[in-house]
Amino acid sequence: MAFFRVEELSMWFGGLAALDGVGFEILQGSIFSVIGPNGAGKTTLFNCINGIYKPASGSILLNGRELTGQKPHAIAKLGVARTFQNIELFSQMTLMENLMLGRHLFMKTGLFRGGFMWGRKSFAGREEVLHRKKAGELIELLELQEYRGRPVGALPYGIQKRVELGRALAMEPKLILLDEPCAGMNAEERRDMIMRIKTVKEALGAAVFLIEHDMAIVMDISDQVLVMNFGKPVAQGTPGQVQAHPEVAAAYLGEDDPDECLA
Amino acid sequence: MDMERDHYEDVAFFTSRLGVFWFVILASGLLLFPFIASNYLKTYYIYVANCIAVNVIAAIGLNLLVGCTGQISLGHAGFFAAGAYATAALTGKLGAPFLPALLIAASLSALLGFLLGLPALRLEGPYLSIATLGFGLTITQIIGKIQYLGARQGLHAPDLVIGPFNLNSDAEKYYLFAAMAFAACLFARNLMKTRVGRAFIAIRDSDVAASTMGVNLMIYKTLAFAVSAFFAGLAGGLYAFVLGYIQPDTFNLLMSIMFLAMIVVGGLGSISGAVAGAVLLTWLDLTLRNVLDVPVLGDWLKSLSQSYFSITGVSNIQYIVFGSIMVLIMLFEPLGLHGIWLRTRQYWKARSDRGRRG
Ligand SMILES: Nc1ncnc2c1ncn2[C@@H]1O[C@H](COP(=O)(O)OP(=O)(O)OP(=O)(O)O)[C@@H](O)[C@H]1O
Ligand SMILES: [Mg+2]
Repeated sequence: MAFFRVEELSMWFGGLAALDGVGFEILQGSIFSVIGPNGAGKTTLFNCINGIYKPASGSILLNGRELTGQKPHAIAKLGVARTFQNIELFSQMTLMENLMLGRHLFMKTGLFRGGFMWGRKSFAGREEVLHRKKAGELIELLELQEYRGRPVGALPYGIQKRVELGRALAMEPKLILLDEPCAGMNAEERRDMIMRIKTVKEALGAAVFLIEHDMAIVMDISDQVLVMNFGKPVAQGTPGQVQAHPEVAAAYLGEDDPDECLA
Repeated sequence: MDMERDHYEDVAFFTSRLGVFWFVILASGLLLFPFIASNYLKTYYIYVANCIAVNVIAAIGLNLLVGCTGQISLGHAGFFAAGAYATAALTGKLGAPFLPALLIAASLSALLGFLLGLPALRLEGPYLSIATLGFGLTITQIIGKIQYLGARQGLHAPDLVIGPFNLNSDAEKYYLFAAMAFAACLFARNLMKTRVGRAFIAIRDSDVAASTMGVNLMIYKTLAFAVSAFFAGLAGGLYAFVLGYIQPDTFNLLMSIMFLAMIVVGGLGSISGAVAGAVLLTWLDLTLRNVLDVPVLGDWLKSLSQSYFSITGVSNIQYIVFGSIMVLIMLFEPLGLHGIWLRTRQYWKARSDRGRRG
C-alpha cells in the first residue's frame, strides 16, 4: 500500500472546478512536486490535504487512513505539516516560540500545570526546557541562531520562509507540504533553500510534497512530478517523462519562454 | 555554543538580579501601602487600591481573551456580575465560607464564558462584539428579575470572613485583594509562557496556521473565553465585598467598556500593560468624580461644562476629562502604556550603551 495516496479528488468554488479528478501516490521518503500555471489548483490541493477545505468528492489516504472530513488539528496529529504560499507565521511571537508551536502536539502542559508552573523542576518547566532544546537543535540546523529571540514578523522575507520550514519540521512530520518555499527569492537564496530542504528530508526521512514554479529546481530534486492545469492532472511521472510530455509544454511550459524554464 | 544555552531562561520569572531587586521594591511597596495610606494620606486610598486590585484581575482576564487570543468581548460586566452575585449569595444566603464560594462563583462564570465561547467559534469581529454585548445586557436583566437575588433592590454582601479572620476594614481586605491580584498576574504570566498561552497567541496571529500545527481551535477558543470569564468572575466576587452592596445596574455596559479601555490604554496583549491600564483608569475614574472639588480647576470645569456640554452641568464632566485622556494616550502611543514603557526602556538602554562606549 502506498504511503500517501490521493484518489479522484474534486472540489468546486461555485461553478469553478478548482480540483477535478486529481489522483496520485507519494512514496515514503520521496520528493513529489506539483507544477502548473497560476490558478491550477495546487494550493487548493494542499488545503484539502490538511483539512482546511473539504473536498466535494474523492479520498486522501495517509498510511491507509482517510484524511478527508477530518479537522486540520487531527490531520496534523497524523503527521502532516505544511508551509504556506503567503507566509503564515505567528508574527508577534519570537522565532523560538514559533517553533514551539510545532512541538504543541508533543507536549502535555495544560491550563493548570502551565499557569501554576513553579520553577524549572515543575512539570511545565521541565517540559518547556526539553522541547526548547529540540527546537534549539532545529534552529542550529537551519542556521537561525541569531534570530532566536526576535519576533518573526520583523525578520527579512527569506528568513521568514526558513522559519516556516523550521516550524513545520518541529512537528516531526511524516509528510511535509511546502507551498512555493522559494517564491520571491533570488537565485542564491533558492539554492540555499533547496539544499536545506534536501538535508532536512534526509535527517527526518519525511516525504516532501512540493509546489514550485521554478522548473529547474523541480526537475532537479523531484522523484516524481505531477502537472496540473485548471484543476485537472495533465501529466505525471519522473522529471524526464514529464518534460517529454507534449501536453505539458502546451499547458504549462508554453506560458513562459520554455528555454528559460527548462534551463 | 548554543547547546549550552539554558532554555529555562526563556520562561523563568527572574532572569536577572535587577529583576529580583525591582520585585522586592514593588512587593514591599504593596505590603507597606496601607500603613503609608492611613498615616500620611487618606484611608480612602486603601479603598481605591481595593478597586484597583479588582479591576486588575478583570483586566488581566479580558486581556487573555482580547489581547492574547484575538477575540472580543463587550459583555465582561456580565461575567463580573455573575461572580459578584454568586459569591454574595453563596456566602450571605447559604452561609458558605468565602474562599470556596468565590471559587465556585468564578467557576460558574467560567462555565458561562465557555457557553458564550461556542458561538464565538463561528462569529468574528463586529458580529462577536454584538453577541457578547447581548450576553452582558441579558445577564443583568435576568438578575434583576430574580427575587432571591434581591431583584432591582440589590443584594448585601455579608462580612468577609476567612477562617478565624474577619476582614472588616478596607486595610484588612486590601491584603487579600492584593494577594489575589498578584496571583492572577502570576498565573496569567505563566500561562502565556507555556503551551496553552502560546496556542492562544497562535490563534490570534494566524488561526489557520495554528490549526495545521495541531491546535484545536474549538477547544482553545472556548478555553480562552472560560479562563477570561473565570478572572472576571473572581474579580466580581471580590468587588461585591468592596462595595458591600450590589445592584444589577452596577454591572452596566459602561463597565464592560471600561474593562476594554483598560487593556487598550495599557497595551493589548501585555500583562503589565493590562495592570497599568487598570491602575490608571480606575484611579482616574474615582478621582475625577471629585474633580469639581479641586480649588480653581473645579470651578472652571464646572462653568465650562455648564456652558458647552450639559444642561445639568456637573454629571458628565468626569467622563469628558476621562475620555480626553484616553484619546490623548491612544493618539500619542497606539501601543498604550506598554508602548510608553518599551520606549522608555529603549531610551535608557541606548543611553547606558552610549555611556559604556564613551
Ligand atoms: N477560497 C476560495 N474561494 C473561491 N475561489 C477560490 C478559493 N481558493 C482558490 N480559489 C480558486 O481556485 C482556483 C485554484 O486556486 P489555487 O490557489 O489552488 O491555485 P494555485 O495553483 O495555487 O495558483 P498559484 O500558482 O497562483 O498559487 C483559482 O481559480 C482560485 O481563484
Ligand atoms: Mg498557490
